[in-house]
Formats: sequence, structure tokens, C-alpha cells
Amino acid sequence: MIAGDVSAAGERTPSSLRVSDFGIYAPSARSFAVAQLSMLRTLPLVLCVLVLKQIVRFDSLFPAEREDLSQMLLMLGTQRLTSAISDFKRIVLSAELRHRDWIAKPSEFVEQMTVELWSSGQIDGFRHAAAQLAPPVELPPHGVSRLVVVDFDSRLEKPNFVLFRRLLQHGTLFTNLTPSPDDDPFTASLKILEDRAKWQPGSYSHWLICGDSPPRRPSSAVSAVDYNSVEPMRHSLLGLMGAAVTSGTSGPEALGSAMMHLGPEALGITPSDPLAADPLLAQFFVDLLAEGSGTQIYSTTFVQWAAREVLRRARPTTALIRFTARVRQRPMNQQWLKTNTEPGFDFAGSLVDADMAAYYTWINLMRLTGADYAHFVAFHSGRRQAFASGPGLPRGTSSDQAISPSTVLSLSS
Amino acid sequence: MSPMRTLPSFGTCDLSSNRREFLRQVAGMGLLTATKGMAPVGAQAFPMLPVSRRKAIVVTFGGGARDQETFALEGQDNIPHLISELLPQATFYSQVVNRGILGHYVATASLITGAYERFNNFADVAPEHPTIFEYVRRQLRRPPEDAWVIAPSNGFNRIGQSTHPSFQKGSGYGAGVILPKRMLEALPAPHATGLDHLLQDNYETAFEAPHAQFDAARLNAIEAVLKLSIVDFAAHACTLESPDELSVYLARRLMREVSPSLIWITLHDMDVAHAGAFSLYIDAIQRTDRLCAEIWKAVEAEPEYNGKTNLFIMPDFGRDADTDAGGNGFQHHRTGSAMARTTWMVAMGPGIYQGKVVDRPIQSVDLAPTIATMFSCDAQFTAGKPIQEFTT
Repeated sequence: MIAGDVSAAGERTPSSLRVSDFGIYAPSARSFAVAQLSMLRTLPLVLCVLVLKQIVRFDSLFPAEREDLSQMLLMLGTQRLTSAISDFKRIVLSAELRHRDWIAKPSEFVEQMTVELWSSGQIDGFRHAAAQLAPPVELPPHGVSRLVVVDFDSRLEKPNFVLFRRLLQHGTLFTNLTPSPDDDPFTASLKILEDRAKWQPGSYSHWLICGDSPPRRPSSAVSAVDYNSVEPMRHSLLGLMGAAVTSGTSGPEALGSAMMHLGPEALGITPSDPLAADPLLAQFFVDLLAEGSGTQIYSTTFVQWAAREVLRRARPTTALIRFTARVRQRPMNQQWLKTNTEPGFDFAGSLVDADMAAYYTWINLMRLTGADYAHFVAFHSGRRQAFASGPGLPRGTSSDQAISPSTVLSLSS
Repeated sequence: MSPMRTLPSFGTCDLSSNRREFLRQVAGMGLLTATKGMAPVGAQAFPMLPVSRRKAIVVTFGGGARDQETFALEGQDNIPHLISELLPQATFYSQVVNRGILGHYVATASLITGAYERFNNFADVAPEHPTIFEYVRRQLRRPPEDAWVIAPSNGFNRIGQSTHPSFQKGSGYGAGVILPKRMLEALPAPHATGLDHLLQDNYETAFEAPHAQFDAARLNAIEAVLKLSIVDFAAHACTLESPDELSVYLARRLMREVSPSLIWITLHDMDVAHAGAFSLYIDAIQRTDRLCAEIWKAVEAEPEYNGKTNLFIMPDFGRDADTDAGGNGFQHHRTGSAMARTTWMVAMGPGIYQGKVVDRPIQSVDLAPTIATMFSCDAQFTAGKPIQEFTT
């Protein structure tokens, strides 16, 4: 244990929380915490820390996350979550852990708590309690159905590999897609994305996520992230990781904690950098790289994780997600020591990765409110295949009729 | 939208029913439901085999593998050797539950001790409960070279011997631990060239406990046991594709030169899943499948092992389910869900039924006391129970 983590006043309980405790929080986080102080004081320690973990990074939360947080705190004041609160109360933490400074450093506390929950056999009870905090299912905002489109780079190929195998039972497979220079999946999907951003504007409601630089940049109404644009951040992060690992002085937990709290500046993003124009997005990009494992190495992993996090956190109305080839596998040490030449691309492996990632993206879409109304489309123009699911589309069926990408999209909007 | 046709569904996997049905149909395996009064294949031979000649080899997958990428219907293409070569000779346990901590070192330590260890997975500590090696070596008065662990992952340095006070006499009764990757790192510079790919740490192990001290003296000691020169070791390593291949190579060398009674091999290539690339995870499962068959061929080829060896193959646990909201599917094993806790075991060799499926749940900690029973030893500190099909 680090001595500095122990509050000078000894063990603190939620009921002892004071306005002055939040003095070290950022202004908006502090205001939010102070406004919720009476509620926070009533919570069991474990639940209180989980809430503070969200509050302390209030500035980095997407609007949807802020809404979730407010709604959860509102619900905690009703009888609806009585059972969850009782379950959290039953969790027993060690005195050593309870003495840590959970008010100032809730993330570190949760990290240590997780270790303790596993070692004390309480992880299942914690999972059960936490699952009850999920927000209630409601209709999608403004009556708009979500649309997620996954586009595979046409060069991703592996002989005899069956594409969309896991998705088939959930929608319709089109085996005679007819892309053309005027109607290719990416262009057609980008047009839909931009149109929806124009008709249904909203902060962080429409996203483009790419495994390399997108063939065309979207309008400013679309939030965008691509693997190439974060390359300097990736290299900075790999450098930090390599230095920590090769130094032999930083254990895995210390390193994990350090990575969890990186800001854009730690990865070389200066205020004048275009990536810093939107601080929330800049921090989101850092989180994708620092908290997602493998996102620094493989573009397929980066895109899958980014899609997951965008869907989970920003709850977008529209997302266009494009998978491209990742590099071939090479040892972790070579990632940070740069002891090898560029390893080249693995087009076959990337197809397998992207196929699974498309399935996971569909699952993540189905987790959101309004899933029954949501549309999902996936294209592989190289194979002339598409998959679509959503209201009005039969499940477990295929069509070999010639169909253009635009027409597939029109079935899903 | 026409013409339309209905496609065969490709369902998500439930934990065992699809797999069991498929095994019965394809591999011709029967469900073993009543063990009372039933003698296993070789049961007559097994009791007559003196304990002094018995061998046991355990292969664990330290990557964690899910049903749906292995024995479930949609995964069986990934494991042709296990399905067609080993299963017909084996009893398949379709539900092996791990109720402990789902980290590879602590979980493997729990398998080896037969008790759920509770230490921090990333800590540089030894198991608290006695290991199967200590039970067997002390009770049968076996020499140090009679039990070995081969583990590519650095964090396993102290897995061979516990800190249990009952087993602290002298230098203890633990197993020797070979960490092939640390051996490679200890090679003098000219011999280490071109072996980077065998030092492959996956995303998680790169952050494990501090590197074990593997100096030239320890390298020389192991080389003496294996009767393997630095030059030959390096030359052979150059021909291999992955760390797990190096582990199996060293296991075969151990079998030939030392013939230990107990060998525990942890294969870790498939833990590349933590990097999030599904194709690499599948490639590693396919490689592991091949290596398992090679290990059994080595058993059959070595006179000291042929007909005397029980082989146990099992993942240390599963991985998160695709639908676990707290996880990211195959990538990790963090949720503690049923999919992450439930796996399988293939058991074969003398005294074990051939071509049978056992569908009742057993616990992963049952393996160590089962092996102890095979060696007529009392594993008194284990939490598991000997598996009855092996001991009737």
C-alpha cells in the first residue's frame, strides 16, 4: 500500500462526505458532486465509490453518459434499486482498502477493490449487484431508430471463409451485391451518415470509425476517429509502456493505473494539435488506446473496441464503421523497441477479425435502448455480399437477387 | 427481395448440450451416466501397473479457451486432432467448473494444488497449498528430477513448490520449473539471434510479475538435465513457430532424457486473444490442438511412457461469453460468468474409459487429488475430490 493513499483522517464513510472533499475535482465534476451530496451520503461505500468514479471524470463523459449518471442517482432515491443497495451493503472490504483515499482517487480504489473481490470470492455478488444498476429500457430518443453500418475493405480475403456466419440467423444475407464506382458501400453509407447528422443533429450522435484514413472525410456534424490519425498517440503510448516494462521497476498494477489516468498531453497532444480541438474527443481517443488492450497494435482491434465504446458510451444514432487490414503479428517487445521492420499486412487474418468484430458490433447495438427498432448493415464489396437486419427484414434468409449498396441501405432506414 | 431461402441457423453456444450431442454422433462417444459396477477400459491392467511405473502428463491451456472455439459444434473445425485422434481413446468431461480466480497463474496454481489459491495473479508468490508434485515426491520418495513444470509465461517461476509449512523440509519436494522463454533470453548473444518470435509475450503477460532470474548457471543446470547443448537448443528453437512449440520440444526432451513421473505443461499461445484479434486466437487453438496430438504420439513412442501414462488436457478456464455485457467476448476472462468459469477435460490412458462423455459437473480442483489417488498418495490439503470414473 502507498502511504500517501491513506487519508490522514483515517477511514472515511460516505455519510461523512463534505463539500470540501470535492475541492480537487474539476469544476463541473465538483458542481455535480456537491449537487448530489445528500444522495451520496446515503450510499454504501462500494456503490458510492462506483458513482464517484464516474463523477470525477464528468468532463470526459459524453452527454448520454451524463444523462445515465443523473438518472441512476435519481433512481437510487426511489425504491427501485433497494435490492441493489442491499447487495452492495453485503460486500465486505478489508480495513486496508477502506482506509484508502477513495474520495480523491475512486478509480484506483475500484481497481484494488476488484482484486480484493476476486480473492475474497465476492466477485459474483458484486456482479449481481452491479447488474441491477443498468438503466431501464426506454424508447429511442426522439423516435429515431439507430443505424449502424459496417464496411469491410474489399481486399480482406481468406479462401473458403464463410462471412457473416454468426449474424445470419438475425437478418438477411444478400449474395449478389452490385457495387459500382458511383454506388460503393462506403460512399453510400457516408452519404446516409451525413444526411442523418443533418436531419437529426446531436452532439456525438453520428460517428465514423475507420481502420485507416477514410476515403473521404465526413462533415463536421459527424464525430470521427481513424487509426491513422491517432498514430502519434499510439507510438507515444507504446513508448511509455515499453519504458515501464523494460525498466523492471513498474509492476503490472502500477502500470495499469498509470495508463488509466493518462491525458492527451501525456501522449504528446499539444493544445494546438487538431486532435485537441475537442477535449472530450481527445480524452476519448486516449482512453481507447490506453484502456483497450491490443488497440495500440492492431487496427482491427482498435476499430472493434472504438465501436464498442462509442455504442456503449455515446449511444449514437448513426455509426459507420470501416475495417481495414491490420499488421501481421509480432512480439510485444518489438512493438515498443521497434527492433523490426514493418511486418506487412495480414489480409486473411483481418477478415476473420472483422467478421467477429461485426458480430460484436451487432451485439453491442442490440444492448442499446430501442434495439427492436435498430438497423444493422454490413458490406463486403469484394465478395459482393451484404447483411442487413432490423424491422421488416426477414431473419435467417438469403437473397441472390442483384442489389446495390444504396438499395440495401434504403431497406434499413 | 426474392427469391429467398431459409438458412441454417448458427446458434450461440450453450454450455454443453450441443457439444455432447455432436460428440455422441460424430465421434461415436457414449454418455457415461452410470459408473457403479462399470469397469473402465484397462481397469484390469491399471491396478496391476505398479505405482512406480505410472506416469501422468497434464496439459493445460493457459490461454483459456471457450467451448464455442473448441468442442462446441461451431468450434470443432479448430481441433481436428483432439476430435478424431484423441477423443476416441479418451473420456471427455464436458463441464469442468473453476470457482476460483480467473487469472492464469493463480488458476494453474489452483489446478496444481487442488485448492483454490487466492493470491494476486500478478504477484511473484508461490502457491500456499501443497502441490501435487510435493505430495507425490514426498510420499513416494521420488528424486527432484521426477516432477517438472514447463511454462512459457514468466509469472510461473514459483509454481513448482508451495510455501505450505508441512512441505518445507530441506530443499522441499516441488517440481523443477522450466521457463523456455527465459532460457532463450539467457542464451549468449550469438545464439539468440532470430529467436524473437519465440519470446512472444501476449498483451497480458508482458505486464506480469518481474522477470525471473534465469542466469547462465540455471540455464546450464537445465541443459545438463536435458543433455542439450546451447548450440543445439538454439538451432532447434530456430525451426519453431511459437513459444508453445518450444515448450513441447522441451517436454519431449525431458521424457527422453529424464522420464519423470509427472510433467505439467502449460500452453499459452492462445492467450494472444487479449490483443483482440480473433484470427490469432483461432490460429493458436489450432496449433495447440496439433501439439496435444504430438504429445500423445511422444507418449506412445517412448518405451518409458507407452501404456503407462495418463494424459489430461484442459483449459485452466474459459473466456467471457459474447453476450457478457461486462466483457468483450473472447478477448478477456474478466466477468466471472458461467462461460468464463466452465470448460472441459480430455482424460486418457490406462484405467480411463475410451470414447465416453461424462456430463456431470466436476471442478477443476478435482484433478490434483485424482492424480494423487492414481499414485496411491494422500493429497490431504486439497479442496477437490478424486474423479470417480478414474478410481473405481
